[in-house]
Amino acid sequence: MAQTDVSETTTNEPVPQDVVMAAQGRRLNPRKLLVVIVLYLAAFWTLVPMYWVAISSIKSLRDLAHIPPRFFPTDPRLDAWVTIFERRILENVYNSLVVSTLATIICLIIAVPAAYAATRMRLPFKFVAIVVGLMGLVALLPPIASAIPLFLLGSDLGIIDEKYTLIILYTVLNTAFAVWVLRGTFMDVPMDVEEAALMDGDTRFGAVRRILLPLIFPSLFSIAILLFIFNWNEYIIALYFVNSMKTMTLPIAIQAQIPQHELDWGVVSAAGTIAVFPVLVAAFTLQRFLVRGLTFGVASGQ
Amino acid sequence: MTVQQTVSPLPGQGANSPASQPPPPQGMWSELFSFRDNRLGVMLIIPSLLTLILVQFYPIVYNFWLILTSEKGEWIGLANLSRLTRDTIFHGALIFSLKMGIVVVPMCLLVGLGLALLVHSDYAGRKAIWISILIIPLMVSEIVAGMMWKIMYHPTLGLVNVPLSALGLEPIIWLVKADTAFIALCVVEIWRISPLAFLLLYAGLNQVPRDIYEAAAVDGATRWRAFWDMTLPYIRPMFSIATILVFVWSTRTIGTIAATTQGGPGRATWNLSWYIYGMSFQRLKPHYASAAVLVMLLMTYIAGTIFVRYLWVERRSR
Repeated sequence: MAQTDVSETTTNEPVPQDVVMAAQGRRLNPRKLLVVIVLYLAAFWTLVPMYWVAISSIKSLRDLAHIPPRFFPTDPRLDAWVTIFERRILENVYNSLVVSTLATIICLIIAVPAAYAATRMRLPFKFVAIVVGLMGLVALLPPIASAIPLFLLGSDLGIIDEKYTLIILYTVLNTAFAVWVLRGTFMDVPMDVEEAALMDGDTRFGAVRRILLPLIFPSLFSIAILLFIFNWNEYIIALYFVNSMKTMTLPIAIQAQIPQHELDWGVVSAAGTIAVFPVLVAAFTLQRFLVRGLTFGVASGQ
Repeated sequence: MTVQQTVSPLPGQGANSPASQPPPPQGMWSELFSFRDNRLGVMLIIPSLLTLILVQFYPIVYNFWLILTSEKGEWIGLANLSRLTRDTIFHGALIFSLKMGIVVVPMCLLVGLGLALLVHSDYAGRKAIWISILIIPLMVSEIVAGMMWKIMYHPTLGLVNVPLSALGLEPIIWLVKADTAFIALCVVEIWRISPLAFLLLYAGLNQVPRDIYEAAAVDGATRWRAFWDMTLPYIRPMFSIATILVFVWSTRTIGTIAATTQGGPGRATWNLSWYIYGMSFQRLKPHYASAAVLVMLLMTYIAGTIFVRYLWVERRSR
């Protein structure tokens, strides 16, 4: 602190720490004000399309046709919501839920042991390095690159337009990412406690169940949510593999609702709102971890 | 089981030693099966390896087979590729993808870096809330993002034209003309992808040790110099990762196009993904489309190599 005091008197450009000290004393700091204003603008820019869609779904037809568009609906109606439920959107929500949840669970069942083995077991280093390195690379490959071969394989096997096909595909598409992220999480947990349990005669499985899993549970949960969101949003594979209402997931249903010409915007807005809602909930419940989880996926490779 | 564990305890005794550091390798395969532990470990990894084979290696290998054969399954050598080089629709799509990358990548990095610096600065209280608001677009499905912006761009319903009409300008029908549609799509992509750059760069900023700023301040460095000489080199690896990922994301987008322009007007907004989708699924030429997939993979690979080599490695050699 002595050093910063010196710098405050000798330089005209204060370092951040000093400004913080000063800002806590003064109420109105122009720099702070500027930062906060820009952040509010950024938040506005981020949220306004979502707000716009949500209110478009409850606008009356008269409000929708009003020029200039109204920022607040004057006469909220639920007509669009009734219509979207009549168009059996709940079946799409159900499909999305089933596919996303099962794919997430299976993916974790496959990925957790792999991440455990990669970080906790004595394995040939090259083997682990190759596998993990390949998994990191996978993040770069566009899903559409695998879509065509997988689609042709699927048509040969006659499993297009089945829910279980989507589940299998979403599982395998995300496994590499899951192993990648989980590996980072596992590496963060010190191994001393587990070792102590093993020395005390606990089995490996017991050590994992009683010590490691409780420690990583919060991360595991967040990764599960992340995978769920990926699956919930998945579009390209679904584009190839969904043919009927039986398997139609929400993103495809939304695309089907987008009108090219007619004035049916309230309905598609309602569908969009349904799709975004879980994402918003996740964003606010996960908060801090999400940053770690998302960045780990790409950053832990270095 | 218990006996075996005392014989080969968990590796990495010290807190700092890497988890998977082996004893000196003596041939991969003999080592693979010399310990029970190895066998169990390999068995635990194999399921994920299989998924990798199914979704990545099988498709890539199969892609080559597809490229070299016609839709009827006959061997045609490189005919698909040579046809691709003469295909003006493909040229258009490739150029559109690259053009979009050229606009979107710098914009996303700028926006992302700016926001990361702001949120990272000491002025932003409650960082977790700012972060979770700012990264919401990352978690919105492509198709939903496109749909939301289609409404935003709508000449009467949309918000985008409101400021224009307030200024007394004619409302622009964004998605109908080629050049405005390009701008509109770029804006959607910037909205959608800049949070990724923000997130990565913010994580990068968090790795910069704070005390170097104090030291720099003692030496009388200006804020700008401190940013240029200390912050930037530190976040360079993250910067390169962000560049690659933003580029890859912006070139592979398909949902936003499907929701907004459907490739129109005419074929003005066909990008590579849309081209591949259109060729393979709508025109039922999966073999021919695979040639375009190869181009896309090459593009990703080249971009990745360039960025890793020139942005990432440079710092390490310093």
